[in-house]
Amino acid sequence: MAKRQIRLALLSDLHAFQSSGNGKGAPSFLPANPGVSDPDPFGDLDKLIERENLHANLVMCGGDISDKADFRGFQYAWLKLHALKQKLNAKELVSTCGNHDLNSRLIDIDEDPDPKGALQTLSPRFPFDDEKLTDRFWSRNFALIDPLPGVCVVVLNTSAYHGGMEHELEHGRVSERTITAIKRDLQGRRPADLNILLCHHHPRPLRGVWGNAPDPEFMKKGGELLSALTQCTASPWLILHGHRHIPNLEHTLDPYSIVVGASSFSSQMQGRFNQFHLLEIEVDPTGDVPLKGAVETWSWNMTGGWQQRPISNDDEGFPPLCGFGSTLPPRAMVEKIESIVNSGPAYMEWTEVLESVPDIRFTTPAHFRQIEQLLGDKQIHLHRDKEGRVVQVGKPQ
Amino acid sequence: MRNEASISPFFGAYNARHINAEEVAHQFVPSSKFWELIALRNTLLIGPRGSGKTHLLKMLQPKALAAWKGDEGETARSKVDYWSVFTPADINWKTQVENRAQGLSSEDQIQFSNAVFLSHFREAYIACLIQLTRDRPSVDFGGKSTRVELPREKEVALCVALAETWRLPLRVPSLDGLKLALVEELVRVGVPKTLTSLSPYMSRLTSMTVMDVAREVSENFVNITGLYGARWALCFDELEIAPISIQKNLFSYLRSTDQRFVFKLAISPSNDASALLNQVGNASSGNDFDAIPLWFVDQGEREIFCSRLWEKHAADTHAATLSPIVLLQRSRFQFANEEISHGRRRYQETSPWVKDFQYLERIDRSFAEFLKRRDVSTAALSTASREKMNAVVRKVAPLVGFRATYFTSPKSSVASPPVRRKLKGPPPEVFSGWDAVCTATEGNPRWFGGIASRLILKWTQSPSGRALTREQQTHELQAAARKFLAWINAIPIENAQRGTPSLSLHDFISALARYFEQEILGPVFKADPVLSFTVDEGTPESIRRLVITALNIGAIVIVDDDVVNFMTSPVGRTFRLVHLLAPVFNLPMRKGKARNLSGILSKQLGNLDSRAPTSKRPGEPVDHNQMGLFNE
Repeated sequence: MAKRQIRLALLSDLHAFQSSGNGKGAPSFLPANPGVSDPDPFGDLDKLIERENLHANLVMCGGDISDKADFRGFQYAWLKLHALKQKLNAKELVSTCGNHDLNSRLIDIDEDPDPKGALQTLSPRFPFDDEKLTDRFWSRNFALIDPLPGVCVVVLNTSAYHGGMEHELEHGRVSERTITAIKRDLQGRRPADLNILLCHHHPRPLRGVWGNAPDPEFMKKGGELLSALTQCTASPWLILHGHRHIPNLEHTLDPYSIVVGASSFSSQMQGRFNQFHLLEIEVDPTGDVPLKGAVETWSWNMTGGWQQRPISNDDEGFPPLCGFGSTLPPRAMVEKIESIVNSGPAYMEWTEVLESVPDIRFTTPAHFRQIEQLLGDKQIHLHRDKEGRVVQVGKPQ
Repeated sequence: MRNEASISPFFGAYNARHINAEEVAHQFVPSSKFWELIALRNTLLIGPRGSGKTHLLKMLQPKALAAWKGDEGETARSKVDYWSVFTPADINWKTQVENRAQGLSSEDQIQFSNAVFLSHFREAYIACLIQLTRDRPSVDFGGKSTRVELPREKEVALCVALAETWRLPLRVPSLDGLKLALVEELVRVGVPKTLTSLSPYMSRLTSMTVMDVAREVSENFVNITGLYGARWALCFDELEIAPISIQKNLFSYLRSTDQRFVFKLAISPSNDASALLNQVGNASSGNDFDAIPLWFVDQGEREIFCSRLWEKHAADTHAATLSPIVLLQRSRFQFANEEISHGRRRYQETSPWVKDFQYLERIDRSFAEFLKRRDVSTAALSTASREKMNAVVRKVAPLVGFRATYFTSPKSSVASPPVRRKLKGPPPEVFSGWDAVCTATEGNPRWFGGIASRLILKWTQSPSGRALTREQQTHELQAAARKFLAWINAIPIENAQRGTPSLSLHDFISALARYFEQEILGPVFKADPVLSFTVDEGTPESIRRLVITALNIGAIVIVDDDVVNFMTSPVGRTFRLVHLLAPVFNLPMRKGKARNLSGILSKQLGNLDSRAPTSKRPGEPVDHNQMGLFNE
């Protein structure tokens, strides 16, 4: 079966809000009633899309579209997401809800508690245009869709139990029954070339985020879910999530499945970039590596809009380019690069290196750091442009 | 007074400093100044802030020329017989260098700042080479004049040779790698205690000159490429920010006979650099270099330039197909909306001009007396003799119209002076129309761009699609004037001795404006009001410095006919306020006759001696608002 390419635009944690004008700090750069001088990440994104001629097959949104169940914020951002889909010429906008989108803390409810009630009144309908799918999502906490031929997406509500027991608000969850139901639905279908799980909370604890403290916010039973998904289908899984506002890239126990966590699109944060990602997925169901991907990321700030920017540490965000699915370990990669550099003049354009070693595109940020270090030990240096992209590699003469 | 450079620029969004070569080309509208600039001659570009110096120099860069679409772009490329190295200047950069040099002795500070500047110049040179070889515009119209084919082996050889000569550690032997290595070297400089603690790279630079650096790069380039005919235009922006020693070098090179290099230097109209130019080697304008002032004397030329700027700003809007005259109409005191623009029929009985004359005659006794003295009858203006028409009628007509707009009849007797109308703002009849916009912005591309963009935006947002009302236009001109005045107000003044009242730039401008306003809108009509000033010997030194500052920031312009457009001292020179300020100060946008500045200010402010600088007492610290590292 031939390889195919699928482009996914990924954004999450918008935290749109209705500005109250009371001088309190804004949770994000996305006020629902923007003034002329207010920041405009979506407007800047339109400029980026035009400038770079970007397009995508699907737009994937990991939830927390609004901040603290701000309905006006949600309405505003939901329309913006639909406009983004149009702008990118995408076939579908696929979205889940996050903990902030549900009124699970029962704010301003006047004795009519209904955590998900407001979201069920939205137009366009949330999260799907189709009423049955939407009903299914709310009733069963998930829905399966086939937005593209050969692509199956499980859209999961990991905040479904918020508003119930007290401590549920602190983390995501998928129940055993939900896992069983998902498995049953998947087993009844033709195998897809690519399976995607879209959820808000990360499925496994993230390491290093809280220092030595364990991560309390991950999706309970997320590990079980991943095992169930990867065991009941013969195709790889791409798990997309948000919630923590920092990027995540890790393999699951299944060697061909990958978890990608998005940075926050527009939340106000210290020390982290607001980011927007384009995933170029290469699916090869019968090949040695069924799932590979390159992640291109743009970072936003008020003065410069969306640009590719170098990062100084993992918590800041994704670098401008990274990937997953490479079969070459770092030392093998270094050997190949060294051979190319030594075979020609003292430096090479990075595009030439990529032609000879295309797997570099699918290298994770951690592995790429190791590669750069090993190259440095051999006096082979990478030269980056001002946007942080590697453009040349060479050695001193 | 140098502090004006550290304030954010007025209409800063249009500052060419922050935009890359390709964007510069997309925004560029060439004036006659550009076609003078591109000649293979040394050039001194002289203009206040916002007059377009940076934009013009940046347009000479290979990438900008290559990105320039259209016939004019082709013409420019065919005329340019050199490759241009653009070295920017930045007051913040200068401040950073000063801070780093704090630990050094005065003598070493000079050498250190020299070395830093030269490294900066080297970086600009390599950037030029990168533009010639690989950093091309997305749509490349350039040919041989803006591009060089440099095979990789030769590029590596050039970079290795330069790095070796410079004693510069080079990790990736490419032009990009070389540029990065230069940047990293400066980052590593830190805060040295002595010159001996500098790296070999920096140490070597402390004893070099601009020409040494230029020749090194050029010779290595020629050796590798074989392009023996290569010529370079070394462009230095805001020269007054560069170290004094560098300025001296550059001025001396204006007499250089090295055929490989021409120098294109941009400076403000008045600064210490001008004194150096007079001192160093006696390079003279017209012989050794062309001095190009960036203000328009000729109204026709200014209007053509403004028309082209308007086209550029309207290009991607619904206003693109309409002329600015359709959107803004003509101005009241130019050709108005009447069919007749000149000749006797302009003063027909029913024309607005005649109505102005008759109205003012009726309400202003002093004007009536003026007409009587000159034997001019408002009932028969169109039949006045040619001599009277030229000497009196045409000369005073705009003043009459202006005054008529502001005054109404006296409440008491006819013999009393006319009364100022209670106006909500500047009168729209005066401060609107295409001609007024061109005049007010003085052909300054940054000012014009700022105002034109807002007018076009306002028009595109208007549901009716009709011409902008005069009120709307006046509102924009007034807003721009206020913004400019607020910016002037933010410029810090020099430290005055305690107890001595000091005069801010804003106060100085306001005092002048109030005087001029009284000339034109005082109780007595004046046919030849004073609307400009000459700096006389009686002007205190502190006021002279204010004049220089006002000139450099563009608040005043030179109006005398002296050929020399730059100066160290304003004494003997005549100036007026820029027309941009006219709406807030109720002034007509015209030149007017001049009076001595000391006389004007004495009348407005009293005894000027109290504002004179006091002599320095022994041991008194240097005034750091005036002196910096880059002064000797």
